[in-house]
Amino acid sequence: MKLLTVIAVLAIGLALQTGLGRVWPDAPRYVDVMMVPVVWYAIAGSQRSGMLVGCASGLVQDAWFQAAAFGISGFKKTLIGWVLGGLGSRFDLNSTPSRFVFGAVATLSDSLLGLALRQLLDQASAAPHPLEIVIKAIVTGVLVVVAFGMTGWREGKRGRRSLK
Amino acid sequence: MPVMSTTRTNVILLIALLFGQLALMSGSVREARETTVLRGWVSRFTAPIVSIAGAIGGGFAGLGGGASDILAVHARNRDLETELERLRTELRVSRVATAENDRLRELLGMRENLVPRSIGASVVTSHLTGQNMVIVLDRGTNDGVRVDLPVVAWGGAVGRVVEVDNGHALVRLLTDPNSGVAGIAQDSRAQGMVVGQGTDVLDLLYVPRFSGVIHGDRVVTSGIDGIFPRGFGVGQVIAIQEKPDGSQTIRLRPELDYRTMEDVMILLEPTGGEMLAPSGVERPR
Repeated sequence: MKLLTVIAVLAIGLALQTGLGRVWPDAPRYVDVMMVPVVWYAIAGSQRSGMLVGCASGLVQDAWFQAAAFGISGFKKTLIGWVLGGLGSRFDLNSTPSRFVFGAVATLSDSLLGLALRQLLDQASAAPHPLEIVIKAIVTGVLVVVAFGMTGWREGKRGRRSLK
Repeated sequence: MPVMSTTRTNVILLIALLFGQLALMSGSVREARETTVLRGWVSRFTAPIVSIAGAIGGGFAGLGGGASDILAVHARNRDLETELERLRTELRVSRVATAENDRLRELLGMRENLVPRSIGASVVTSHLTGQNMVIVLDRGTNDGVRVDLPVVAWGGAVGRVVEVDNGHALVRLLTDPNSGVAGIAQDSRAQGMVVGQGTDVLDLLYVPRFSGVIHGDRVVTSGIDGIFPRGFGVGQVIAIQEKPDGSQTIRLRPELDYRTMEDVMILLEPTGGEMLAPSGVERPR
């Protein structure tokens, strides 16, 4: 059941990223939809789930949107999922500001790690404008908050129904 | 104690995953078969999601574009009527020139440009960032598409197929920072290598300083890279920078707007290298 939920969440993420890219090709500069499940599972689940979802999410992203180095997003998101999962198990991250900050910092780290890895692999890439990185971090942070809000609302509804 | 063992297992798992993905990255750069196989599995498993989401996204894009198109159509209609009259006159002149060109070509013993076999494809989604400038097309190995085939659109070159599965192809656009295509300036005939910058411009490199390239010159594919046939538009010169080594770096505005592209054509036969072989010379078998 848990595995099916992970697959469904990743499928929704991929569908949103694909649909968004079709409507607005520049969208990947300003939002990383596939980062949301990684942050969600790292905060709400365990360190291991954050890491594994990060790995799966990154590899899916690589398969569809990566022309040069397959595995680069998988590497970044695995590492980020592990770090966030570790922090999530030590600190209380159940407030909206902390979820937003985690989402934003994860996206920021993803962008910077990407640049470093490309340098390491000798792959050409244009350094994104700092404003682009900041906007991407903020938008993804907001998406993380929205995702938590939606799951919280759904769980609340389910709880109220069981009380009745 | 159990907490310690969980942490240790997580660290071992992390190291294994990171190591595995480092191997994938290195394999991908070396174009190793194992990487392609894994990539194929992932894309095959997720292909239906991408197809459906791409179609829904296309519908939304069409709706948004449709409203603004209607407003623009009236204004464009008037302009087009005037343009049509002018083009009719030009067509008459160019027919005469074409006939003359055919005769001269025959005299020079040059072969006709072969029109390569091609198939149309629709853009499923685009991913335009400074690190990757790619589009996904709805054609794959089932339609005869394979890696390294050139993709063109009305008016110019689009990019090259870098990954392909049964029903989809991933195309690296000319603007991708790891992209390169042999180009030639249409007027001055100066040749160079057109490379992407991960932005909305292209650079034509390795052009000699006294090549005579000027602002506004059109650069087309030269065909010597063995991937693109010659003559497909690449871009227009917008800036020229001289370098201390005696060469020039020429900045181009791409011929096509990759953001609004919906349909393209995949050329199923690489023609560049073949076409440039001198005619009448027996090839080694």
